[in-house]
Amino acid sequence: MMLIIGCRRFESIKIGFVGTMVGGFSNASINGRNGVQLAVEEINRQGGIHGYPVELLVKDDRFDPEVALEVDRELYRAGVVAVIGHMTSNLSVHVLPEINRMKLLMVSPTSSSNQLSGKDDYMIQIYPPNKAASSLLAENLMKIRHRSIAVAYDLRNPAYSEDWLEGFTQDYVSRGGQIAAAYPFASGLSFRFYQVAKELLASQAEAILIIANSKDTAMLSQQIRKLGSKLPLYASDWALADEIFQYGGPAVEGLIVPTLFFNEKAGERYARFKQEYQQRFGTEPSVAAVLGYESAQLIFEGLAKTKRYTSESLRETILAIKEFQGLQEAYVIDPFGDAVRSYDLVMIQDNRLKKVSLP
Amino acid sequence: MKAKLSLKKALSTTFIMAVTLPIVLISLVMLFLLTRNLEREITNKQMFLATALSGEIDEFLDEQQSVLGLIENYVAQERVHGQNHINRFLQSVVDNYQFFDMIQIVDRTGRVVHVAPDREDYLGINISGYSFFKEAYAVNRPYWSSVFTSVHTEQPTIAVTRPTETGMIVAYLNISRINDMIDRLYIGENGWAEVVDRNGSYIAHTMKSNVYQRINRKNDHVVNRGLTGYPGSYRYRMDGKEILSNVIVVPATGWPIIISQPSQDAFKSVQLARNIFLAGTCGAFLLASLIALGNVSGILRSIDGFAAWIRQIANGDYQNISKIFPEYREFSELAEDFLRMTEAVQSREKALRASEERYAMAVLGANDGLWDWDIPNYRLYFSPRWKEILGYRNNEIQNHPDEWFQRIHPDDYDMVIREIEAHFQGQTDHFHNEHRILHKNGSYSWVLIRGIAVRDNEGHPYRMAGSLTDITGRKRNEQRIKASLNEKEVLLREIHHRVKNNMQVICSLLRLQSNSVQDSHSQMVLQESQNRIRSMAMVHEKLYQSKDLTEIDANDYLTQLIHYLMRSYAIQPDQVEVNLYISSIQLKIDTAIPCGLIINELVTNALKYAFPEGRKGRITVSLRMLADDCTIEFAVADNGVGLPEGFSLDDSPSLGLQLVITLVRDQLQGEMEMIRYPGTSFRVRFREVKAC
Repeated sequence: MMLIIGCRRFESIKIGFVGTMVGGFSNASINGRNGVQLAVEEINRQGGIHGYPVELLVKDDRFDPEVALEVDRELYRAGVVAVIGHMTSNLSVHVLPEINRMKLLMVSPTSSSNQLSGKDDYMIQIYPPNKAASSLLAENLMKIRHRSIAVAYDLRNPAYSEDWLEGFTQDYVSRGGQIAAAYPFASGLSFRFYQVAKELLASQAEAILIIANSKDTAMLSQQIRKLGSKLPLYASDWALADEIFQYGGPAVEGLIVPTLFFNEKAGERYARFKQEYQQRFGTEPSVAAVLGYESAQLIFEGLAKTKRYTSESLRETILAIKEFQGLQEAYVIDPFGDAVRSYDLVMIQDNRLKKVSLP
Repeated sequence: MKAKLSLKKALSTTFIMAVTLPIVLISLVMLFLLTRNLEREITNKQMFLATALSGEIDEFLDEQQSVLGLIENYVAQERVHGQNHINRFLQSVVDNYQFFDMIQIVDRTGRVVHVAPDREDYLGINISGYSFFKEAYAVNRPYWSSVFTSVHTEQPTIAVTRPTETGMIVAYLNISRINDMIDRLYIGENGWAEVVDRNGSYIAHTMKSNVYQRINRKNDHVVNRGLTGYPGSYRYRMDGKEILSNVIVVPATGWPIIISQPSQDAFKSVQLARNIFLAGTCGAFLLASLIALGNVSGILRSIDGFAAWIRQIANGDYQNISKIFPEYREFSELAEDFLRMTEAVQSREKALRASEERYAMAVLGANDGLWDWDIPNYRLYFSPRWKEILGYRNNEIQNHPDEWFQRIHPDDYDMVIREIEAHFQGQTDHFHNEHRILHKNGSYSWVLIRGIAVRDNEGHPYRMAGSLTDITGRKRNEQRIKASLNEKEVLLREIHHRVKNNMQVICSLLRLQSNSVQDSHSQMVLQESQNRIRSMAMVHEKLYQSKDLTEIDANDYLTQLIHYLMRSYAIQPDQVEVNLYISSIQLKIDTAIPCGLIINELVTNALKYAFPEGRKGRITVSLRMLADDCTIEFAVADNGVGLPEGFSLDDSPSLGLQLVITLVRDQLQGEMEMIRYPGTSFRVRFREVKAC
């Protein structure tokens, strides 16, 4: 029986995508999915992998840990060779034991929790751990002498936001900084950012750091600027999605964010990708879209070289390949499956990201 | 030879074809027309749905712009109404038109100056970062944005904008209203409707999650056709299924509306009609097949019955013919005819058998051998008796013509072949040939071969059969008889020769005797006797000179006789003229001798007495067969002095005449008359024994 199954020919190579497809957290997932979809359409146009077309199965984890587990199992049962997701650290941390049990390779484009790094597991993170970003920001804040900072962070993705804040706090405080206020919030439809903004401003901090998604960051920035404050605004890398410009408008001008990607850094590969993405989806690619695309590319490279189309074999192959060419730069996947890539600080100026060089 | 074609198959196929072909053809044509019309109708219906949906959406968009127009008018009178009134008015609009989640009035910089519902977070913020803000400004007319996730509802939303003098009115349209429109459509069990924006993202879809997940369908063929301005009906394959889609574009926004349905569902009615037709056709086919098989079985049962009859009759069993009752009148009539034919065959067979038995007995009785020649195949059957006649056992001679022809005596061979060929060419009715044939013991046997050829329509022989009779014994007897006959003929000829010689000796003796007699009367008597013997000797001479020793030619004999008499009595031709009219009649010895003696006497009398004293005259002798071909008449007439008065034949003392009378009466059993004037004529008639 095993022999028969072993010899069975399959018609396509299935990969999964899991993200939060609906609601306030859906932007990154939808952009990430678009990136993956573009990569899949491209590879299939080129004849697939060794002649086998790639089939993409998309699942919605509804930003619910239990649903996330369930959809991962569904994808496993559907016979996917790898899953791209989840798009938030919180869910990735939650499902990690289960995917290790199933030996299902998961490539997360955007999960960056420190809890995921340094582990010999079945999760490969394209995104480097939070620590790298938070350290860079803390270091630079001290350079420009912002000694106290008020922080608002989204409690709905604690694996990211608390992890980020913790890393940041360690670095910042160790360098002499002070957390003037740490304001956790759980944004919802009736949530009042105006109130949060007022409380942040009331802390008398020299700067404000927002650890939230692009929409919440933008809304909070809008309220801060609406209140007339000109305090420097900082945000975690989660904020960097296309929506930050839309929702933030002039309010996010001057916002400084640590990021892996920005247009100035882009080379020819990225330009081509950007053009194709715009043609395909009508919008500019966000960071999540870039990471989704890179995740798919990483899997395809692994599949092209792996001996067998199984999660286990694919994981070993990817770890063995080690060095990958991203859209903007080459990066390394270390033996624990964590990406090693460098951050830059960028500032939003005229709806664009510009690298900030601090003294 | 067994025919390959089955009657059952041929009849069934022909019948089924004859019945079903028209049904199938009609069904196919109907099916084609029905399918085409139904498909067209269904496609039109789907297009109608798309058009209706487009109309409804268009109306809906119009309604929004009307509302925004109202707001614009209201805001334009800001000074009259005051800020609070505007907020209340906006709130009432949001309350009344629930498809608006939020309405904002923004200034030219993008700052929100009024908002409803009244939410602090959304007042005073700047929305100039939204792409729709820039695009709406650029077009400077009512504008519908692409789908984006609303910050305040976190739902896919479309912004509807209307430029004003101070900025623009922005209404956030809850697209669930468009989804509601779609939900009201019934597009079969598996059909769906979709509305996409100009970027290819879903505005509405029967399956809501597609909208919430903001799935982009720009790459989809049908969506692309709509986006590039090619509405219409399309049939294509998706996930292995054929899909029927109708695409129409909302004029105001350029949104493609697509109504899709798996062809299998859309054309279910077509499929149903097709199935009904198919079932009908199959039913007709089955029915036709059953009827055909029923009829064929009926026919075949009858034929089987006949076949059984024929086999039975072929096996010679006429006694226990089972009656069959065919289902068809024609077969019934055939059965009756067949029964009559059977009786006739039976009767003829009886007759034939009797004839064969007679023939067999005859052959047995005749002790003949039989042969039967298959000419085209060059095979020749010889009966055991045939072989036995030649001294062979049955297995010692093969069925080959050479077994016969190579045994024919070399001297007879050409003659046999010639006669066979002559018979083949129709020159003889029967072949009948006697020849010698080599016996096993090395001797030649005489055989009589009788046979007759059987010919085809063109007269060419293809078979020849006959008998062989051993005639060796008969041939020997014939040869023996022939030898005996020859011997007798020689003997008879010798006897006639010796009789003639003896008579000539007698004549010579009489002539010597007369020479020694002085008396003229005696001399004359001796002379007459000599002439009489001579006339008889002449008959024997003619007889042994003749072919068959039994008959002589009357003309030849009598002419010689009369010339002899003329010479004997030294009559000069210028004194007595002799006229002979003698037919060449064959006379037997029993007739020839009396005739010769009578004519001898009568001519002698005429020569002696009719022309006395050197008188000249004429003697006429005639002999002929009368018209009855049975009576011979001869006459001797002279124109001499005639008989004396009172002469009577009966009383005549003349030995000659007495001899004549006796010969006519006793030997010839004829009659004689005497005519006395002019001269003397004697006419004798008698019936030739041979002829009558």
